[in-house]
Amino acid sequence: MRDLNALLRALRTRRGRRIDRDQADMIAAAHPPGDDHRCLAALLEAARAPGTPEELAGEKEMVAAFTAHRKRAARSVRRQRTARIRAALVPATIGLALLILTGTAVAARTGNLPQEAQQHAHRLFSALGVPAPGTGTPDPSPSTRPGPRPSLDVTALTWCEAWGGAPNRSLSRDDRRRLAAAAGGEEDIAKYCRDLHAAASKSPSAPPSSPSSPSPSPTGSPSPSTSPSSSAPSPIPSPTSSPTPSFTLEDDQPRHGS
Amino acid sequence: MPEEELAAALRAAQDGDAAGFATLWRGLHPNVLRYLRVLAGEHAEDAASETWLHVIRDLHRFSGDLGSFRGWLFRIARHRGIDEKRRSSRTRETAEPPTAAAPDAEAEAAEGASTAWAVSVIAGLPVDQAEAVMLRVVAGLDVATTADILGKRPGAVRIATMRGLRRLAAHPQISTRQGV
Repeated sequence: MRDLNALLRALRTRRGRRIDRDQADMIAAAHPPGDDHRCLAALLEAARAPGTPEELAGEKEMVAAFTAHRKRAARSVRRQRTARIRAALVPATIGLALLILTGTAVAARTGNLPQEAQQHAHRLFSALGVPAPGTGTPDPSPSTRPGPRPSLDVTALTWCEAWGGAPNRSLSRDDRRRLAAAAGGEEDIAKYCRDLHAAASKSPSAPPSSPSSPSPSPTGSPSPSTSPSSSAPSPIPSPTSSPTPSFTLEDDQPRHGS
Repeated sequence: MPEEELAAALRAAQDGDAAGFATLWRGLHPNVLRYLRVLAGEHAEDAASETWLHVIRDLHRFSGDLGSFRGWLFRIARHRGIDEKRRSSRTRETAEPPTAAAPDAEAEAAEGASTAWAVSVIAGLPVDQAEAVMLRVVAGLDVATTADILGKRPGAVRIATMRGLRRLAAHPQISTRQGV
């Protein structure tokens, strides 16, 4: 085996022109292949010679293609940019408009707009099916309207009962003033209370009036627990009533009598 | 053409400069065309045009130095050359076999070692050796890039180059010119 290799190597050296791999790499790296391969060197030199005029004939066309492509690319970039801006701007505008519209609609629905704007909004949104708030334009259902009233009626009724002289109740100065204000004057309290009682007994949804409706009688039926303390100006202070309310009661009472 | 000048031209072309592109084309097109003559024969011109149009189209996506640009350019050239050859063989079945133009070569040889003659001699090699010689020796690509383009291992590229050079050295037309 070794002899065979030696023989081959000897043959190669004798021939002298055989190119090995390293030499091929050197030739490829533009090193002249040496005197043994002068003609090969000439061939390779010719193969990598500078371009001939014939080869370079197409320069103008290719540069024109380059310029045209650049122009086209620039134009399409510009078009893409405008398209991108438009794609971003349109939904943003629509979103903003929707936001403003719904915000105004909600504000109008809840009645949070200034008076004039509120009326404008109702005119605008009633066309779109948004109902007006309870305080606004005519509302077909009356049930929402007297919302705050019953509680006032109930308070006024208790005031009336106290005022009417139920012996077990006492009307404080403040409450009396309020009752007078609600009735429209001291003189009208009696009429106001009468009307109130009449209205309360008519309406089924006035719970506090039903047990006290028979109480307009000036003396009333004394309840067992409070009768001793009120009927007699007691020397023994009862635990339920303090002296002051009894004074006010006496203070007020004569004027009613007169 | 000096490498620095070509590298500057590449950068200018990437920035859209037509003069830079012209310089780049003048520096590299001849070797592309010669490689394609070996690969695609008479369709080399069409394949070279296709190659450069592809480069123009995708240059904005290319990033790298002149060395990697050469590799990219010759990879495109190889694909276009193979495409052209396949298309022509499909459309013209009766076309003459793509042998190296032997009579031309002899005529050229008489005139001297012109470029066309040299290329036609290399084109007469077996395809893998011819491609290896063209890419390594003429285009000046390194072993790794050539192996990448040809889809071979670097060792196989070195052997193919060596065998191709040996064959060229033993070529009768060269041997006869040996004594001149």
